[in-house]
Order: sequence, then structure tokens, then C-alpha cells
Amino acid sequence: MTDVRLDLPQGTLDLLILKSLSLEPMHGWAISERIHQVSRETLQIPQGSLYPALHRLERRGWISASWGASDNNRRAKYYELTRAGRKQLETEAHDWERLTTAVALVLRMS
Amino acid sequence: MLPGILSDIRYRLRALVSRDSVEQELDAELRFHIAREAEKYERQGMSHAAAVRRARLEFGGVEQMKEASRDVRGTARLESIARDLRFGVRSLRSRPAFTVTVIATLALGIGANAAIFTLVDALMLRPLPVAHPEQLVIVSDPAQVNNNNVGSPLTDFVSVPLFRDVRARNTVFTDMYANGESGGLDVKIGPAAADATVEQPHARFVTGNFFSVLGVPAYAGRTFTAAEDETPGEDPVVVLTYDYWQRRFSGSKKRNGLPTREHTRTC
Repeated sequence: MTDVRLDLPQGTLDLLILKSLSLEPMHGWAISERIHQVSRETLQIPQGSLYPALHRLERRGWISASWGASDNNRRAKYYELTRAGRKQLETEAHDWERLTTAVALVLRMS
Repeated sequence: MLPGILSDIRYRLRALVSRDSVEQELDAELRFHIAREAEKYERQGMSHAAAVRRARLEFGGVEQMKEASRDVRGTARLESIARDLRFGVRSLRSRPAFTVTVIATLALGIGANAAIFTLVDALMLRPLPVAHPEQLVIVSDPAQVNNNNVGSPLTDFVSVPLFRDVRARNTVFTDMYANGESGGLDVKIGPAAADATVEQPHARFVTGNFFSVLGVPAYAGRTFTAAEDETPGEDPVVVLTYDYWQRRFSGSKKRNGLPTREHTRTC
């Protein structure tokens, strides 16, 4: 099973990160791994976009960061969703649903 | 929106103020990621060195990523201004003679400017602290018109009878007053006046209507009465300026003995 690198539309990466963090606090590497596994290895987030996205979300106040010990006792930067982030996730997920439904409808037309 | 702005400000402030720790954190975060990727490859059977190499390769340009994160911070412009300032300070410090000269020149220039402005402001720009400054004029000898010394107590001498005459007959002004420099005044102040030390305050001789013409009431006590204006040189009444009152008598409202004039000028 080779992973095909799909080009994520703009802003989708933020949505994926927010969703991942809505389940539990994670550090950057874990987020990337989780998304890769849950998407059945379809989505591989390029690190070049992951960390700038994380820092951007942190700056907007949707996620907050703290340093903690990882499972192999190394220090890692953990991110977790803030209350504003949770609201933003709802909004963006809702918009995504609407968008993809609309696109699917158009694609299905004959 | 407000919490977003607050966290934005906090993030940027931190990036500016503790720039070193923010950079270190960024470095540690990326290193951690590479280390975990390397572990993953090692578990798949690669050697440690090969795993690390592969992880680093796949990670891509670390510096580029750091730059991208720095861009996200949005403090680039401020940081570069701060860097330029620091550089400027360093180079000034390395040339002390030049720096001292520049600072001294600036200080002199600014000081001189401030002093001149204060002077000009007090003399020319501020309106006179009287009731209707725009209605004040100087009346003098017609031959002296356009002369720089018009209105100067040193050159314009008017006798009391002439002044009174002009004042009585004038149809132009609501009122007129006359004044003159007192020159050196020796004054002894206090109840034991004879033994007090001689002081030499600045003073002006004025006609009794000085304060009423200008529309300036007394801050405390009174100004001159009409009776005191009748005969020149008869009633030596003194009205103190506010500053002199504060300085010499500490603004005390107690009655102190009449100042005695040692030197008398008759008008």
C-alpha cells in the first residue's frame, strides 16, 4: 500500500489538526501519525506545512502549547484545543460538510 | 475575536521578548519529530545511522521550516528593527569620541532651542495676563513713533501733570495708567524695620489705577484705593507680585510690618 500524496485544499490542514486535537492533546509528530493512520495511509502531512500550521493555530489562540514528557521520556511540545478552537472546529467542519456535499452533487450531475 | 487578538499579542510579545527560548523551543520541537521518525525506521529494521539519515532527508529543509514558522510569528519587521537598533548601539559604543561629540551637539542644540522657545513664548506668543490684552496700547511722544524704544521706561519720561492732563482730556481710551522702573530700591522689611537687613527687590512705580485699567484683581488683600492716588509720593503702598510673595514671604497672609523705604524718589 503506497501512500499517494494528495494535495490538500487550502485550510483543510487546519481542520485536520483541530479535529485530531479534539480527541486528546498531542505533539506534532503524533498528530501527523494519527492523521496518516486514520486516513488509511492516504494522507501524509508534509512536515514543511505541519509545523508552520501548528504555530499559526497557536498564534490565533485555537490551540495552546505546553512542554511535557513524551512516552519515551523525552521532552515534547504538546498541543491541546482551546475553547475558541473547539468552536472554530465546529464551524470549519460544518463548512467542510456543506462544501463537499455541494461538490458531490455537482459531480453527480449528468 | 477578542480572545484571538489577545492570544495573538501574547504570542508575538513572547516571540519578541524571549526570542532565544522561542528559537530553542522550535529547534527542540523539530528535533523531536526527526528523532521519532528515525525510531520508526529503526523499528522497521533500519540501522540507527540509516534511520536518522532517512528521517532527516524526509523531513526536508529544517532551516526553511524554521523560517516558515518565524514568518508565522509575524514579528519579522519588529525583529529586524530591533536588530538594527542593537547594531547601531554597538557601533556607537565602539567609537566613544564620535558618540560623545554627537550627543553633546544634540544636547546643546536641543537645549538652546528649548530655551529660546520658552523666551519667545513668554514674551511674544502668550497673551498678556490681563483682562483685554488686545485693547492695550502704549501712548508716547509722536516724535518717537517707529522708534524701538517707544514705551520703554528708560527713555519715555512723562511728567505727572502731563499724564493727568492727557488722561483727563482723552476721548479715545477708557482709562490710562503710567508706570516707571524704580531703579535701585533699598527696602527693609519687618516689624523691627530699623535693624533689618537691606533688600533690593525689583519694583515699578505705577499710578493708582494700574490694576483697574488692566482688569487684574488682587489675589489676596487689595490693590490701590483712589484716595492713595491723589497726591504723588504721599502714600507709599506696595502691591506684591505673586512670585515675590511666595518667595519672600512664603505666601503668608499674616500682616507684616510696612516696608520702609530708605531711598525716596519723588515724581
